Amino acid sequence: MKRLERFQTIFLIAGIGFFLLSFLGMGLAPWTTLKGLQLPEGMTARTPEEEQGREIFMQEACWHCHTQFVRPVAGESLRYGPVSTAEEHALEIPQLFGTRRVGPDLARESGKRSDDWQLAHLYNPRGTVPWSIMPAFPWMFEEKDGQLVPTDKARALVAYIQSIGRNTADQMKAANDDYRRNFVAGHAPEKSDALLERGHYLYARECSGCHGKTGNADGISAKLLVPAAANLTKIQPSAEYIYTILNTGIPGSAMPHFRDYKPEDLWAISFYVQTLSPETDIASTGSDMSSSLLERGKQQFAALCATCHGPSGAGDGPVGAALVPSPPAFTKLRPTTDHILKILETGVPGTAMVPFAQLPEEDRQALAYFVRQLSEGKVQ
Amino acid sequence: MDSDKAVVSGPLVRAYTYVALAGILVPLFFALILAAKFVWPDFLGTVAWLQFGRLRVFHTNGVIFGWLGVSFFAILNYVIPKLSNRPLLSEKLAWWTLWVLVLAMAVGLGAILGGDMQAIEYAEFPWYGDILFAAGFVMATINYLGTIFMSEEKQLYVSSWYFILGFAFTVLNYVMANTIVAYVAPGAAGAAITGLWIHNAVGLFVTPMGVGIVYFMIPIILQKPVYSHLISLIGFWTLAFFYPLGGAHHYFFSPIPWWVQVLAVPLTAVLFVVVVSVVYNWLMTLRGSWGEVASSPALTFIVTGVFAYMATCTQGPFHAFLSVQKVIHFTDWVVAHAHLALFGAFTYWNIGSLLYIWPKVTGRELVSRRMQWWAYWTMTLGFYIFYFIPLTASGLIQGYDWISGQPFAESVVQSGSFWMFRMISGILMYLGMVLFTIVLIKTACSKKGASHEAA
Ligand code: HEC
Ligand code: HEC
Ligand code: HEM
Repeated sequence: MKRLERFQTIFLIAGIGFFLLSFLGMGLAPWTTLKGLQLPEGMTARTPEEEQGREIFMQEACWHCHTQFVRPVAGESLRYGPVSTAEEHALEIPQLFGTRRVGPDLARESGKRSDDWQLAHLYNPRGTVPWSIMPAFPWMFEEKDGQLVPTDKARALVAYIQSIGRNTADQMKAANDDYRRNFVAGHAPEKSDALLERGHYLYARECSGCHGKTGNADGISAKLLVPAAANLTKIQPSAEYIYTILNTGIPGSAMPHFRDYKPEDLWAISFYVQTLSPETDIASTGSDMSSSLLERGKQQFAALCATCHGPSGAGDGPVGAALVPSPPAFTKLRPTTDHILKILETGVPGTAMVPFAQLPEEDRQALAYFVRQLSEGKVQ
Repeated sequence: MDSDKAVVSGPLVRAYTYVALAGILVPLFFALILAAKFVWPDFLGTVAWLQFGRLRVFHTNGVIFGWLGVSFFAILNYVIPKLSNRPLLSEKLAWWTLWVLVLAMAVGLGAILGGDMQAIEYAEFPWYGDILFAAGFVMATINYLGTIFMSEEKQLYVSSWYFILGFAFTVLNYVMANTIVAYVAPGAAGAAITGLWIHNAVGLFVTPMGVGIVYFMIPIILQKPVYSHLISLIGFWTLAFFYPLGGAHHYFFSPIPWWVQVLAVPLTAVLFVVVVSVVYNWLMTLRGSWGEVASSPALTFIVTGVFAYMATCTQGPFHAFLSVQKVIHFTDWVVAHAHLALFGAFTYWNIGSLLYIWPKVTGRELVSRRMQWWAYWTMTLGFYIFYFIPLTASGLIQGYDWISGQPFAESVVQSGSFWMFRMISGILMYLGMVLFTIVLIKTACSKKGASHEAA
């Protein structure tokens, strides 16, 4: 009788019963409605390497800072891509939706960035994204003969990152290509000190990791980017050229686009980047100039360079148009003579630009001279 | 209180308390490094086992299981024998439970630092840590529920309702997370069940333990009965019924079937009833005794915790409104909310309760009331001024930054100074904890013979 008054068994039953109620009602019931989901087209099962990468993703707790689902609210589909579906996650055990975004959502990461961007980013996020607070993972890389090489762990992790949401990668890439094709720079605002200062600030915040503080491409990520980040002290680009690249990025390289920024900010960066390379006019080539040199350069250019760089140097040659990354437009930037000579000697690893070291010294001088003429008048 | 010696084992309570203190001082130390990494991400950045992710998981699991879990048990080692008017079912089992839990924490947290963890929030211990922890938890459950069930007392006090509910529920919940979520349930189904786990870990483990303890402490310290039995009943049964059903609110707008999410909105909102009834009951009990509260650090901790609990659970239902959820989800706001509950409410309750119990289990009067007040004020100012307010603000900034379509960079750059504040808060909170620890240890080491503190 005594025991009964205490009703203690009722509370025990309540504990077990309410657990079962919640599990059946809010766990098992949705589960049964989700049974038999098919993976969407393009979402193939993970390879063993990607699987290993996912394991590392879980064990390093990347999912404590990165979610993996795009919500249908808050403009997320504009920022990240298509809204997530249950089908896409049908094989994820355990699921990695996540609850906190210190960093951006990764559900649409596949193909968004190049592999070398991802590797350099893992080695030290500040090397590609100076404002980042993501932890560095230097122990996934090793020094070999003075070279920094990713270990299998780093490669597996990047393989996994590139697989997240790969069913929509083509769609995202097509949209991006469309954007690039149709991009029109529009009018530049008036250059001002305030704008230049803002540009300086944003350059330090967004670009200095890859392109270096002074623009000479000696950032933390220099050892891992292929192709290397452009040396901005040597190219004398037009503001419009930079502005366009900032909106489109350079597919096939680590160079990202920054189109989330408002146009004014991107113009500010463009103006600032222009100040990084010394202003020299066409004449100061450092070699003796003559019309015969110019003629020689023109012939060589037509013979050796035009298929890629285009007859007028606009980067639109028959072969060049299909290249990834695409060749630069010499009509919009004017590399310094020493920079051109150096590239003719070494080529640009990671791109279709091969070395022309076998050319006689004089031809190379002539080419450099000619290329610097291609940008109409004074680049501004 | 004459029967203290008869039913309560002092050494047991003290040993659990020391383990619990380690369970907060170590994870909080790592949390300081964690907070610093938000400001200087390359700080200690080349050491794999001090990587941000591993430290974050160490911190969350450490404080939830090592501090809250073990300090609850320390207090239950006192409260349950008192309520049942008999010693624990088996004191030996209680000692073994402690060693198993210590081993589980060492193994589980060690594995996490070593880079071996499950991807389930608040259940990151790898399987071998899970088994050890589950073993310890089941042992504790048998011991505590066994004690309650063997009691000869006529009435079952409201605290015991909560304890029975919490233990029975949590054993099953823990197993569910570490088996079904870890190995069986895929994708959105897995998320629905993960939501249950997260929600029920706080709602049907931490909450009933804490609420049960406060239902014991306030009346016993003030020496007067609980205001209303009926309200106790309402608070208990609404918690038991509604709380377990709101788990999907951790994954709003996710691919979990929409009907589950829609249901989760009212099922979360109704929890307001739970907290209002419980807190009303306590405040009415406290009515007329505010002088005593102000003069007792133990009661001040507990009552401050009551207000924090009220605040947390006022926030909670609002989170479930989809227009709010859209903004605050994924941001620091939620981190502030979770800390308001786990630090502001439950940690304060446990500190206050330990301050009350300590003289009884050591046979010595607490040393230095001044130091107790210093502990209270460093923690309280540190937490509210430098943690809760800044992170709530940065959460809003992050949420609105993202909605406005600005570059992601803005949300991180603009949070910088708030994260700096949080680091300062960490130092203050740590300092407070150290002071509290010193009070307990100095008391235990002081000369014997002091009478029981009349609270
Ligand atoms: C402290 C939280 C944190 C942790 C832990 C973390 N990240 Fe990040 N992550 C960030 C932040 C912040 C950014 C945004 C800045 C940047 O790109 O570095 C980011 C960006 C990224 C991006 C680029 C997303 C994009 O396209 O803009 C990838 C990919 C990424 N992280 C992968 C990982 C992986 C893999 C791990 C685990 C090995 C990880 N992150 C761990 C915070 C974190
Ligand atoms: C993750 C590294 C990275 C970041 C960050 C980055 N870049 Fe680049 N950038 C590159 C790489 C790599 C190339 C070279 C691509 C190639 O060779 O095809 C490049 C090329 C360029 C070019 C074209 C140069 C040429 O010769 O055609 C410009 C201009 C440029 N970047 C400007 C910027 C600016 C401005 C920012 C900051 C807003 C920036 N980049 C941020 C990696 C980066
Ligand atoms: C009845 C009162 C409460 C309600 C209705 C409530 C509701 C919620 C909701 C809706 C969220 C999700 C917010 C989001 O992620 O956007 C949340 C998060 C959280 N709550 Fe509460 N809460 C309450 C009390 C508590 C208590 C008492 C605790 C601790 C014991 C707590 C701990 C947490 C934690 C840790 C999270 C973060 C979960 C995560 O993101 O991983 N809450 N709460």
